[in-house]
Amino acid sequence: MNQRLLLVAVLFPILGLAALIGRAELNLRSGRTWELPISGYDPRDLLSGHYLRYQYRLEWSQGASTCGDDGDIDPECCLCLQPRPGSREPLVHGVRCDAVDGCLSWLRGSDVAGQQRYFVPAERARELEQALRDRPAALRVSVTDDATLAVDTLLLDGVPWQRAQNGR
Amino acid sequence: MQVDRKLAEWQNAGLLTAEAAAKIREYEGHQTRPYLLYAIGGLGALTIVLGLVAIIASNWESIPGGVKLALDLVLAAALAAGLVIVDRRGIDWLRETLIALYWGFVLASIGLISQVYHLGGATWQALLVWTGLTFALVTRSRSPNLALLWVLALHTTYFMALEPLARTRLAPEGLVVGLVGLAPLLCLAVATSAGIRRLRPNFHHAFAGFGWFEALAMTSAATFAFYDSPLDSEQLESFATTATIAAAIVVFLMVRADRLVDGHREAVLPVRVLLALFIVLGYGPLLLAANKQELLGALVFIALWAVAAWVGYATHNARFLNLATAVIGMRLIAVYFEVFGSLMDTGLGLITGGLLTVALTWFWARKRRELATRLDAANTEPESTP
Repeated sequence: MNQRLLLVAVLFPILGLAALIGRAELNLRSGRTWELPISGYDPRDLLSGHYLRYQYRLEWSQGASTCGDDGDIDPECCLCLQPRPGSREPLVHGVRCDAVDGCLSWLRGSDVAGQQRYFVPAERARELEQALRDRPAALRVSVTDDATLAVDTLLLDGVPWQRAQNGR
Repeated sequence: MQVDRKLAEWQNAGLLTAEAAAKIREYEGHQTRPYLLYAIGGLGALTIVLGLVAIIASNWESIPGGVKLALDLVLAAALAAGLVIVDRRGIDWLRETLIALYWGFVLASIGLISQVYHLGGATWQALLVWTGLTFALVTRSRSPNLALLWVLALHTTYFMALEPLARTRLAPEGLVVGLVGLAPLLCLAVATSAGIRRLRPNFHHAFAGFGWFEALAMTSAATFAFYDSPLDSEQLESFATTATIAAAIVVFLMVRADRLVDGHREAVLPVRVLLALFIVLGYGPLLLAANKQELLGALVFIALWAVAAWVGYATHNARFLNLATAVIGMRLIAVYFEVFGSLMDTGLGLITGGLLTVALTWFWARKRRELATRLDAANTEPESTP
């Protein structure tokens, strides 16, 4: 009996970790892909050195209601994402969170408001911090039907940062 | 060794025969835990895992995310398999070491998943997942320290979850302050479970220990609200909601007070009084918002610890009784400086207070023999009571 319980106890964390990975992977693969423009929030967090701090710089539809300015997004608002001709970046307008039916994708304001973090290798953090200041940056993200936002990769000049930086 | 020295001392005093001393020595020899082995084994295993983590970290960019995660799961599986094997072979020290390692490794793995997928969740969410995933694992441990650490992690999760709540419009400051005070009461409520006490005594002790310690610390801190109340009238409304919940938990605990006294029936009454003080003094001063009542604040503080001392006396817990008395003594000294203003008044206050302290010590010394007899009768120091 004790052996069985021990077996369950040691397997449970592995299954839990596998479920976390599976859920993250599913969110990334099952959602609609968008590219959301970003800019540096502040100089890189020197305490950690392992992540870049950024904020979303969304393109708001002209004349439509917004959820705030640039990075200052109201966390209690919802964002409706619609395709923009000739671009992978969406046009965004603010909506009530109970009125998102007509949106191709939608996001909760709280998920994109304020400071965000993107993990990078420590030894390349400084170089990427500079790149984030100097070059157009965006995040390739996946948004599921229930508004779960999964970050895929950082894009510099429209290409994944590894390729963009190694090519320079 | 201390046991040998004491045994020799008792033999010389004619209290113990050589035969009895030999038997005690043999018994103690079997009881001794190989702490050095635990420490060295733990250090070795920790070094290996840290080495692997360092290798992964140094190749952060060159190792694809999928490979890193696969490697992480393989390591977790190896730890799990190792744990099952050493358990079958009955190597206790290695079993406990591996459980502790595996417990920490799961947290590191959650961190790795967050990095690879750029998950932006709050720290408390990661901690909650960790404590949930490792609960069954930690219950397999025979180490009281690991149970204590797990309950500490659960506490950290709870308090960290309150921090972002305080920043939203949903939770006014008063509500958050009140929720902080619920943590020890909930711990004590868990400690009253007969099932946990029977099946997982380490967890029972950990919950009870944290509950009593925090409840006393928080209630002591709350008495300082008589000096300057931190909540305004708007915040008090939401604070009152949590005070009601706290009162309900306290009533529940008072009904089940006999489960918090480890068989010391005479301690039920003082424990009930102490529980009542947790709600009256823990929430009352904030609700009353009675500023500038320094003397009242000091007196209720002393009253709280006097009841705590009563609990220690009734549960035959000499250490706790001594602690409560020491706290009262220190608070008395602090009162002299608080209450009196001018140098002359302070001087007089110190003399009066000093005399009071000397009188307290004299009374304590007189009663000591009686207390020692009473405490020796049971010669137990229950851990589930403060």
